[in-house]
Amino acid sequence: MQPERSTHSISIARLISSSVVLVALSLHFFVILLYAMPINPVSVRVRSPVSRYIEPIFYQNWQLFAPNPVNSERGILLRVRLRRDHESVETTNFIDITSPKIADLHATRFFPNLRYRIATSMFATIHQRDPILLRLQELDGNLAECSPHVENIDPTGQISGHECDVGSEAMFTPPIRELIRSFAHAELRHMAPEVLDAYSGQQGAPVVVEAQLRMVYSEPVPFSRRNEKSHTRHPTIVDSPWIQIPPP
Amino acid sequence: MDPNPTTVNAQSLASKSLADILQKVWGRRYCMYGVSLLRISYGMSWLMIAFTNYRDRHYLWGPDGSYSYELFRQTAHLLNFSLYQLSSDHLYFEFVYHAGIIVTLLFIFGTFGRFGAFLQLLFVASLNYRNPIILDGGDNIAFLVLFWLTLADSSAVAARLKRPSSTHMAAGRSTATLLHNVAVAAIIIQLAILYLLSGLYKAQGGPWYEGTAMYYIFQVPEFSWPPLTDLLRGSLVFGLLASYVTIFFQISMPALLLSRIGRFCFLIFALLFHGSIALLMGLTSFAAFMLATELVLIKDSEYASCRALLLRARDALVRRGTDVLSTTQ
Repeated sequence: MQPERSTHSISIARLISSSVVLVALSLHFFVILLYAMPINPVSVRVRSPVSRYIEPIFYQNWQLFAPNPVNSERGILLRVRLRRDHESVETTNFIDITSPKIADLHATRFFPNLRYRIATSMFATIHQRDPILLRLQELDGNLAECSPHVENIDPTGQISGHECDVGSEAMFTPPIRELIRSFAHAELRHMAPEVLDAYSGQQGAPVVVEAQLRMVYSEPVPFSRRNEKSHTRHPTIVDSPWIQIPPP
Repeated sequence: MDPNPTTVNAQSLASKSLADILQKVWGRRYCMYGVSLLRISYGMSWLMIAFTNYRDRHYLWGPDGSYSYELFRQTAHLLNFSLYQLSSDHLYFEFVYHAGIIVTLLFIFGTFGRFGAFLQLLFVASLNYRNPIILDGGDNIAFLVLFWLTLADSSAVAARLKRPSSTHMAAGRSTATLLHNVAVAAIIIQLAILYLLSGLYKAQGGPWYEGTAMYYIFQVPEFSWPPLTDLLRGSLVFGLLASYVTIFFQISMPALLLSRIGRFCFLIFALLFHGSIALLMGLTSFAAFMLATELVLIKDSEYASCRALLLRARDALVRRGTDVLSTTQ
């Protein structure tokens, strides 16, 4: 009788703790689903408490190359203003930052160096938009595809001649300026000799005082035009304002 | 009073199956090999990341790096605790970076068990939050799974300093067993959510259901490998197959896990899928983390039969070797 009893007996403590764990686990993953699933009326309504629970430990985003995979070729160029003595300021030519890193990436397939990611994700970071806002703009017929249409930003930081203003006014926020500054600053250390050599005169080495990023997008060749040899891609250029670089 | 035997029977049957379930959850640790191999593979991937970027550690994570300490401090959320935020000193940065490498080595060996996993969690979080703009989906899933690894028993393949004494084990054994099984379940559910949602997001997107997604992705230098990807880009059949096979396996992954054959089909797909991503798109660490997570989908009994098969093959080889030796002598 004893062994029969032991297989049938249910420990109340174990039953209760198992149930608590089961409920907690179900709730946890239900909230994760609400957080990570495509935007819908329910997830929009509970967004704030859900985010408070999920972020930062359980943060997740599974829109991997979806719904629309990244398709534009993106490159970053950098130029600087050099001051010699105290009066003359020279502006260098633009230097390609992205291409050498992509060449390295193509040469190493096994755990490639991550340096290329900074250059390419600068775009995503600068053009980051709230997903709900994007969806609403889309529903309004006010397509958020505008950001690549920002044509040129003049050196004073004023925006001129853009085709639509969604997000572009707010594009170069203080954190974005700081991101550009630290990126330019770190890049300069890698290419300082080639920049400075070209401009170093007899009066001694010039000092970098400001930097400007040029972001170039090249829209993809559409699938329907893939066999047209004559198809030309029109790159879109966005220049950042000049950002001050503190002396080393 | 007429006793109703069927009700009594049903009741005892229900309580018996409940007892069985409790016995399963509290009495046996599942997926011991999968969890251990997952831990080792994760650790190796983090070690590879630390080493392949060693020369550029200042550029990527350093105080004067491309994501400056100032920017990091401005954007850091109070909850995003990172060891790197405690000081902007270069020596301190070097100390934390190298301590992270040692912690990862100990994590690979499983020396400190769950505490080792917790330390690893602390150092991975520190590095991830230090520069969030270079992360990818692999870093994301690895961090989520690492959280659960702090509850799991990954001692099946490990070099512990000392085995816990048997009396010590008996005391905390059943609660630890429950936590281990919860961690295994959580890792599998998290992985299923990843596949289901990324499949659903792809099914929303025109290029995926039109079969042109790979054509567009392979135009981006960052995610291509000329000339091989240029060749594949031109293939209509490759594009269509890649899109549809991916969407199908990703969305149906949770259902495929329900049967043994489905699970094996999925594992074969995952191996080909992530292998191609690593080679063609240059996302090695992403592929490594994904395939490592897939290891928990293989049962202990399956690892055991794999091992037996390998041992038998080795024995057969050894026997043939000695036969050859004896005939030549």
